[in-house]
Amino acid sequence: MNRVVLSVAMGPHIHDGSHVYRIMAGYVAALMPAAVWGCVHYGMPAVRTLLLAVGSAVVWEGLARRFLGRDQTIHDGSALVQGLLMGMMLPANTPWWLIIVGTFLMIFIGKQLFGGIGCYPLNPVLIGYAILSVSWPMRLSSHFALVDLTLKGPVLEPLAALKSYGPSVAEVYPPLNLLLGLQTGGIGTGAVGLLALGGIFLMARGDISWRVSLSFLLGVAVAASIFHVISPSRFAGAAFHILAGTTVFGAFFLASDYTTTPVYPLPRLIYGFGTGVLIVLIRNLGAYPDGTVFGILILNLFHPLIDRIRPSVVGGGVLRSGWRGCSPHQVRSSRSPHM
Amino acid sequence: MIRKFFFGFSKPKIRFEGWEGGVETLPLPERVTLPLSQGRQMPFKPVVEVGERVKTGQFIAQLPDRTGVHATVTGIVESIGPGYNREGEEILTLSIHRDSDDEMVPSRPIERLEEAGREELIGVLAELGFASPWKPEELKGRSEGPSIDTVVVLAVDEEPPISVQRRFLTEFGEDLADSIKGIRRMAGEEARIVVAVPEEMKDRAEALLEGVEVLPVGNSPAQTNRALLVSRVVGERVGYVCAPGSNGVVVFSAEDIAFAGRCLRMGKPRTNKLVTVWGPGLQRPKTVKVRLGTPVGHVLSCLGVQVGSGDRVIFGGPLMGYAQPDLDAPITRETDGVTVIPSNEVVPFSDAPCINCGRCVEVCPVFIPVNLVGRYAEFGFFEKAVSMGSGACVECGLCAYVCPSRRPLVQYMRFANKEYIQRQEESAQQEGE
Ligand code: SF4
Ligand code: SF4
Repeated sequence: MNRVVLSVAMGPHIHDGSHVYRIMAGYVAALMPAAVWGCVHYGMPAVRTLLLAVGSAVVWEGLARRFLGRDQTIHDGSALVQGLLMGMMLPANTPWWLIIVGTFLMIFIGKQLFGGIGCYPLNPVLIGYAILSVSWPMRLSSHFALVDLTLKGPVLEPLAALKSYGPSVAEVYPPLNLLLGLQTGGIGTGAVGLLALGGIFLMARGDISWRVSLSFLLGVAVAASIFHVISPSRFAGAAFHILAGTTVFGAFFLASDYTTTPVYPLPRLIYGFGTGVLIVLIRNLGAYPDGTVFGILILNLFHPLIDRIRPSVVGGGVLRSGWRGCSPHQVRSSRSPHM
Repeated sequence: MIRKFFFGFSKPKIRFEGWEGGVETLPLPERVTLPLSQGRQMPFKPVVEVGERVKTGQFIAQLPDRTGVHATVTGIVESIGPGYNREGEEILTLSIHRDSDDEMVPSRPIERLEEAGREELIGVLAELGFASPWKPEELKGRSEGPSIDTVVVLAVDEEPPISVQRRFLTEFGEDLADSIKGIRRMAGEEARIVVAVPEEMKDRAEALLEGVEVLPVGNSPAQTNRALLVSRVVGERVGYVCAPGSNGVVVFSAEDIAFAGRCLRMGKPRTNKLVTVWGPGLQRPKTVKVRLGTPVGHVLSCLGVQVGSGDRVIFGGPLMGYAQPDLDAPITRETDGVTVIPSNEVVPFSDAPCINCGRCVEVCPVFIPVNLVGRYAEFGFFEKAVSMGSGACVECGLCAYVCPSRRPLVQYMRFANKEYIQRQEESAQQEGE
């Protein structure tokens, strides 16, 4: 009999087949409809922005890993997805250098400085975007940036209009138009209906947690309604807050980022709900028209804390003295000597 | 392999192609290898020599308490020397080269089994090679620990696709019922006897077995885990108790006690084992009866399962089983299943970082924050890992099964526990000096 050399390893010997790149592929698939819609809506400049963002993010990731002397991680697809997310949040005519600076900040400062995927404390896409929006506010808001684009529908971003003219502007933006994406803003953040479809797809696949995304939307709805009931003349209602700006994009694609999200069910609900409430607070009481970016960043900071609400380990998980290398497999076969 | 509900609610459920009824008896192997020691226990003392001819059922090795090992085929004792158990630890083994069909040693059935007293039962069992945790009066002073108040009988299989233990509720139900009556006689009227059964067989078990508690158990690997099941019965965590009976609880598998009962009635030592085999070349998992000590290669070739280099041959199921180094590894009393995984289906672990997706946390039956503990172990913070609960791990393997980063999480748990214990001991030693 010819000798068969078997491979020996510890269990489990099977795997459910999931992989990080499959999750990332899910993200890309879910984002595609909205991205394509953005390209149709804004034309070639949008295509340019998206490609540049994705390409530069991947290149930065590769360079960063090489520069830091670590294993290459381009193949897990996270840089690609983050580049796409960043591109979709930017206006279509963002200057090329701004895009490259944005993805550089995202990958180097937001992500790789902390060790890459799984290690960063704050969502890198939001870090990059936040630095850009603080440093070049005019470039990222509609007034200046969109001058040279021809647009269907109202030119002003709905949330900026809300900030300047009060809730009466809601009439200029009928919910159906917002849902269909006839609003000005980032390339891919406007098509709320398509984004929601993508989000449902991801939740159904189990790639993002429904607890985070749905409680996020619930938080926005509850907080906005409370404001609206208190003073309808000053604050817009729940529907407007959910459909306008980056709310839905944030709920499904930004807040759900695994690394910066709690893992337990209740903390996930708290995290999502808290983010939603905070966003409305920033929008209604703060200086920024859209609070999604800072709302999520702030809750990111608290995620390890929230995640401490967890069930205690069965039996306390204490290693008793006298354990002496006796591992559970002996318990598993702890039958009476050999009956 | 995994069923996911809408909205990402994922409890792994491993699907397989149903149970196959009936148990086929395989032809006798050319050679058997019998373990002469079990785990940490004192080795048996061989009473035969290399080159001696033994008959099926002959007494070949002995422990001080009169129990022993019996030959399972007829042939020449080929070697007595070191070998390995399924976990890869070195033990003493004895191998017999079969040279003819079975020649049985004469059997000595007990007459009037129903009337036999407790002492007689224990004595005959010991002679037949079954070391019962109940000691006859003469040896009683020597055994330590509290008296046995709970007997757990596991008629559930550890994980799919194994279907061995559950057959002792269906095909061999009478044997089990009989043996449980015997156990009742040995354990006394006050002892609790709990039989864990698959939930779909609850009614049948209740009809079949009298005077015992029937505990229905679901089919997911998290529920059938031995350590967790026993903890559930006893109501407290019994994870790291090694010596059987040392906390008043003894655990039997249904197969072991059913065979004990049958052997007692026929007056023959036990020579057989049921094994479920699953691998490429089989339509469905198949359960067969083989001699104890049969090399796994013989079982696989009889059933037409192809094994090539680089494949994994696993004793047990695919989640918790032990991969064997070669095809000579013998079937022992603990081997309920043989699973073959072809090399192209083996998913290698990677050292990719944890992405904090929380899937491991969702499936862990003992609620370990696997995402954190895995990272602590990876970077050498063993104290932290243990303080977060790595010690509770029952090594069910579910976390590593669902991890999208494919991290070797079970290894990390073991590693942290082992290192922690080692360091504790070292520092204790230093203090002593
Ligand atoms: S940590 Fe241990 S008990 Fe928890 S799922 Fe992993 S192997 Fe099972
Ligand atoms: S399943 Fe893997 S990647 Fe996900 S949290 Fe657990 S260890 Fe991390």
